[in-house]
Amino acid sequence: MDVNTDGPDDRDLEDGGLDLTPRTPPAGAAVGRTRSMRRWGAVGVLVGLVAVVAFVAVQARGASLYYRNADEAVAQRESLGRDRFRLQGVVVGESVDDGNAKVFQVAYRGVSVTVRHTGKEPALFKPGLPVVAEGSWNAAGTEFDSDRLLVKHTEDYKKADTGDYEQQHPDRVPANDADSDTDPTQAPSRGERPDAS
Amino acid sequence: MNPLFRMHPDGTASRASRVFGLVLLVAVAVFLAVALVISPPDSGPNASENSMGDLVRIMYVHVPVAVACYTAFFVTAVASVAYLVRRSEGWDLLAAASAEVGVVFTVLTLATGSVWGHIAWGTWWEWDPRLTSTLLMLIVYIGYLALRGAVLDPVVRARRAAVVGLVAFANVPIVHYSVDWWRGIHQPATISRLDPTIDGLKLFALMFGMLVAIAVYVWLMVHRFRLEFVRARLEEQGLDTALAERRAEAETASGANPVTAPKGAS
Repeated sequence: MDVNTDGPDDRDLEDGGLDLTPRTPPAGAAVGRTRSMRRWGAVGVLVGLVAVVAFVAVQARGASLYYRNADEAVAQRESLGRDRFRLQGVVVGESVDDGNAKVFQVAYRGVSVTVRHTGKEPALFKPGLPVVAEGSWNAAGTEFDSDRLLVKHTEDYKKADTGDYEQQHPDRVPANDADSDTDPTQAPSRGERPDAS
Repeated sequence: MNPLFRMHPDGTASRASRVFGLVLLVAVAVFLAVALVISPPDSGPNASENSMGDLVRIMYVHVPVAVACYTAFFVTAVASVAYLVRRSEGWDLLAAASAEVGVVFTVLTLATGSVWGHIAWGTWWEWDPRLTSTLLMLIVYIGYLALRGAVLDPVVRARRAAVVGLVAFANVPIVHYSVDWWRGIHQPATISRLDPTIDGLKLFALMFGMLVAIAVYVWLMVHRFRLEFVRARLEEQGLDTALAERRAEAETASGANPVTAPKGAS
């Protein structure tokens, strides 16, 4: 900035300053095109960003109804029909392999559902751990046909207590505000877990 | 040598940061020993109800990098507010550096979580509230960095970035509480609660990991902030250099009359 300090302001074109844009002739056309390209580029990026945010937001809305607990699935059996949904419950007892499907019980708040699962199961799948099964009620509405099974492991990394997970964690997942008719105040709180050390 | 490429004589390190770096390297090594070897697997008589075996060890990295990304974005938000109040360059550079380091930690969080989820849950990715909001957080902060790259004027850039840096933080508590507010596959909090559901060496490994991750964040920030500072100086210098070069060009091209009305200026 020591050069030519009494000259015009170099950064101001109106003041007769120097054009610092890299020069590729013809100068006028190139500058105009670059500007409009930049503007359209910015609009493109903005549209892309809005699309991504909208997509994620739509997915998040679906995610907020991520699963139905076993008791809710039973209560809503009529309205659900053959609709595909996710079923959440704790695996109770051993599972039986009947040749083409793995059959086991999941329970939540004392309501159990028989799940007939075809497909892979995660390594952590075992009795006592909550799972989320994806599928629908069968035609008779007696069993849940699942083709995708995820284990929803818990936040408890302390030594396992008696193993009767359902009784000790009755309030493990929040009740569905719209559909639940059970009174959450009747459930004992987490702090009353007997064996927690 | 072209003055554009002449870096700060000390690079981005100082004696103190080098010592800190060495201590940190030792701490990382000790942490890895604790997390991967010394701490017990989640199996045997002391196993938790999840019985994750060795898989539990990924938690000692996943949770700490997540805490580091929260910290980074918190610093960005605070620095953004400080910039809007004080209008001094340092706060802007701090916000920028922290956002970038935060993005790196967020990617690490998603990557380690994905590996964990693949084995424990049975899926690499799920549109679960925690995962979805974390992805949104990553996109928003990448947008913040893109905004910084898109505005040339340092003052305009700093002002706009500060507003975005502050607004973007609104999502961070949503990410954290998403596991309590909505149903999902992700487990609820283990340690950020009144009665942590982890104890013994597992708890130690987790806390140690968080300490190391925060220290790594600080170390990265020392260097990233200095780099950002040097870059700002270079940007200023670059304008002066461009001025001098254009002037020299103009003088050689038009001989006696250096100040000519630029083409395409109207």
